[in-house]
Amino acid sequence: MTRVPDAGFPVEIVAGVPVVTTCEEIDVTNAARLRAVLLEAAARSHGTLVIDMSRTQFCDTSGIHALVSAHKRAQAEHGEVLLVINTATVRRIFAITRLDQVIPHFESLEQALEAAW
Amino acid sequence: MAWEEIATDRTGNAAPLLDLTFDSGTLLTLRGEVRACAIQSGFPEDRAGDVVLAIHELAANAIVHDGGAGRLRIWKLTRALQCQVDDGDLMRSREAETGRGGVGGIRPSSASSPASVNPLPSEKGHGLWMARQLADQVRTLSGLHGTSVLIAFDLSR
Repeated sequence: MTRVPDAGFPVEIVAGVPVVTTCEEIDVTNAARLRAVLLEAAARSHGTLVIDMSRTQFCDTSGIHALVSAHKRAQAEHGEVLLVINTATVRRIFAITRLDQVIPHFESLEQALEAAW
Repeated sequence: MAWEEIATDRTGNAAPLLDLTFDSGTLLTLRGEVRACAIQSGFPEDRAGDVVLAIHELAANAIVHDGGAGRLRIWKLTRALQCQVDDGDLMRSREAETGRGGVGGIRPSSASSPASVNPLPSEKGHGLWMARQLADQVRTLSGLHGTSVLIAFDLSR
């Protein structure tokens, strides 16, 4: 069976900011798990959260929904979600769904962490 | 290009480039097969990515909303790549009619339970919406026995 590899979504605190690293493929088989991880991380950090998608090669609309949920939760806590995106496929779905105009995004983790301050 | 032309073109050259059944456990494989198909048909990387995303969204729809599994066929026509996703309900009703099981390719794994997919309460329309943004033509056929979505990507672009 070729499931999406369950690498999980590790959370690390870097310079005081939680950084969630997403795996290579995000789709309906793991998007709910991603959403749960993101909401928990946002709750713990009073809203501000970096999501590092630099390893992600594919993300579908269920993944987008998870990110939107995190974004809304962060806003409710007066924080924000900052994304790291540097693959063409992820940029593409962000552009089509206009999420690139809603959530701040950066080419590198360093840039995102700078913005978190 | 009109759908009538596509239909005629298809009957003249009916063998699909790809014909597989899928469920939540085989979505990753489906994406790999679709990408290979698109590249083989001459699409550049970024357009092939669009083909993969559009078909994935329709397949995910079929899994989450319409029966847990489905069937994908892709035909290479003279001017377009035409893709058809049949939902699980349609597949099962056809099997019941013909007395045959699924076609060659990947069989739906009966071991994957609905619980293995944790769908967000996303709306069913989102998958179709995404297909409409990406494909050159989209058509849905709904009947008593299930739904088919047909999308086409012009080869000339």
